[in-house]
Amino acid sequence: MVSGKPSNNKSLKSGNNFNIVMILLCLFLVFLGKFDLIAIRSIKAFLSDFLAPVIFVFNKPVNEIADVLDRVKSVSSLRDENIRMKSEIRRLKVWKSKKENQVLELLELKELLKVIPENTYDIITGRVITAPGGIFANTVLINVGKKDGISVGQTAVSSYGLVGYVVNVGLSTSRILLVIDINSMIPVYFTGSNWPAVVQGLNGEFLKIKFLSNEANLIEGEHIQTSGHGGMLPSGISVGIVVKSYSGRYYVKPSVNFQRLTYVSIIKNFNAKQDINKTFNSYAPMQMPKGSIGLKGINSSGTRVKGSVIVE
Amino acid sequence: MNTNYVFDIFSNFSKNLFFFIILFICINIESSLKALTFFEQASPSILSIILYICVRKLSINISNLMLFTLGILYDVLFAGNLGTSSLFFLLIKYMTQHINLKHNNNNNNKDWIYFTIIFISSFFIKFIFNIFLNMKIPDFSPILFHLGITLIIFPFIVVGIKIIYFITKLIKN
Repeated sequence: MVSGKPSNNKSLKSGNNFNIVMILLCLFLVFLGKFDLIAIRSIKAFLSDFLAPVIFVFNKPVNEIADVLDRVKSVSSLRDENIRMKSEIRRLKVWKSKKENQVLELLELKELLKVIPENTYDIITGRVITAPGGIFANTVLINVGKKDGISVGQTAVSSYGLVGYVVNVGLSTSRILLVIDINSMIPVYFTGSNWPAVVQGLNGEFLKIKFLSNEANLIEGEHIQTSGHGGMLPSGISVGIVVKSYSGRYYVKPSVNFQRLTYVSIIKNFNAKQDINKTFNSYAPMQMPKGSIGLKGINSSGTRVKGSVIVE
Repeated sequence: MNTNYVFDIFSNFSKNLFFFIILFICINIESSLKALTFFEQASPSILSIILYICVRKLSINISNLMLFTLGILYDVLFAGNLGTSSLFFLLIKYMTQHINLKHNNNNNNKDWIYFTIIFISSFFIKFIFNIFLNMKIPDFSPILFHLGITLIIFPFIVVGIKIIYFITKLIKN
């Protein structure tokens, strides 16, 4: 059905060699890009800086249209939303009074145990310029860069939880690799059972759970937070919740809605070494350096004791 | 003779610059479409459609160097693997110029079939390269959505261009 017969156009025939040269050049560039050279990274950062205003201008009207559509959608369900909100407020009021008591209790206990206070993070917030949703890469460009103190590897968060981490920095823009990207791997732990694992992006809606012990029993709806293992990311940032697929496999649904991402905060002063050695705040029990302090479910050698999984 | 040569160079340069701007706008439109909830998973490849129409229907010979540059910009904007989009665009152009169906029939489906074959085969090569470079297989649902929505949107863009062409002709007359 399909033939590779070239057309009779002479100009096309003469351009054949040039086509092949260009294709070979592309292949060379593909492999060069894989080496992750500093020069290429700098060129990418410069181009991102240079093109950021153009992208912003083009994204503006579409973003406005998307906002209008969202508003129209929300207006249609206003009554139901109002009822839901009222019940939510009532529930939150009860929670608030309970939490106030618990906070006081926690402060007292911390005082008794002489716990070193947690580091307060220095954050900077930037506006998202591009929308995520690529097929082969899921990144966003934000309008803060090197001049604002951003550097590669810093953690990006939103009010809902972990967004990703900085992979490329220009003078006034930075690129953030989202947790849903296929190249993103985040060390996490399950808040219900305390099992550590790694979640990997799939370039889709959900995250894949990797390196999880066979003994772990996952619960649908269980919350997942960053464990801080590896020292790249701070511990205790919400990543998502466990969901079960039709096939019976467990995935993680990110807490952040990446489509509606408008502002992203970057944690600037997270010092991994200091965090591990000085302040251990019980988020990641497997991370404990010495077995001198007894932890629930872990023996003195740091291995998990069977049958001690905390289930809600 | 010499003046004609210089004039040709300037003429070609201005034409290429014009098409470069048009195609760059297409890239930006493609990027901005992701903000809409409907294209949450993936946006259609508008640039491939425009490229196909330019080469096949309007007989415009788009410069390879321009496609290469556009591909690089595309990869930088979307943070893809450098060079894969350039390869994809060049393959689309190359296949559009060279693939011919033996049983040519003049119905409206011809273009759609041509585009489907060209787009899917070019995309498949790009997909293989990305798997090879990332060493991971991505989720298939955004990929299938991207392929599907591009193929669905193709006839609408063709009809749109035909209408614009018809109106321009009408105004000229």
